[in-house]
Amino acid sequence: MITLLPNEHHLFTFRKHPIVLLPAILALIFLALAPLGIAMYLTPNINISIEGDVSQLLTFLYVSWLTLLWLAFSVVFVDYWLDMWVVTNKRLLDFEQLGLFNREAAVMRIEHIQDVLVETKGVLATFLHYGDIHVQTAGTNKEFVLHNMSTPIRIKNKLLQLQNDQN
Amino acid sequence: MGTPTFDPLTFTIPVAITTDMVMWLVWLLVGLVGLTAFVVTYHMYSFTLSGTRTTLLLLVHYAMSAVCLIAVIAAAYLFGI
Repeated sequence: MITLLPNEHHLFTFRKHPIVLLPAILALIFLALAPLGIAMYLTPNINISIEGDVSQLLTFLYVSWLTLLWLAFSVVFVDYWLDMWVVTNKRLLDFEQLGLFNREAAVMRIEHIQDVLVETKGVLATFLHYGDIHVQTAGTNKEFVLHNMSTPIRIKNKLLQLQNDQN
Repeated sequence: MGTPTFDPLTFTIPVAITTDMVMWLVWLLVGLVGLTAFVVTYHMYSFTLSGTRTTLLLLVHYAMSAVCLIAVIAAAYLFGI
């Protein structure tokens, strides 16, 4: 569990827009339906001879395939869910999940925030309200960037308001 | 000229798929589902400010995994394990 400092309390958690899951979801739906499509298209043309009850075996294999796809989706979702910014009254914590066992974490003090830049590119991003946020700090050249964040303008306003309250 | 005919392709899978093989596959899937449930739970509780939403997401994961496993076991029983 994320541990907070004394007198520090959690204010917001920001995540990427769920649209970033769409390519993975579409790919998994395609992979789930592909065996059915192949079976429907090829069954009239190919006779497969397997000893035993073929239909029961194919059902078993298909259900097993769906189980594996569900597990793959779980891993993709965990990756999405753990990419987040946690904002407290003192710090901005940036967590980036790069894989199931590959993770980066960075911390920035709120009073060090110098500038917040929001970038919204494209029609989809404009209508669905997501975009990139860049946060620049004083003192270092380190820039926090989070891509495809949901409601970036709202996040920017909240961060700047928090920074004003600190100063 | 005669009417063109199409001969269906015919091939035989040379290995007889036995109930033992299916049983091994079921155990493999049970192991994978269990391992994934453990890893997902570990990540969700270790790397978030765990709360109601985390618990709900985990419950959805467990429920779906259970449904998948029940379907796999049912299909394996229908095959004859």
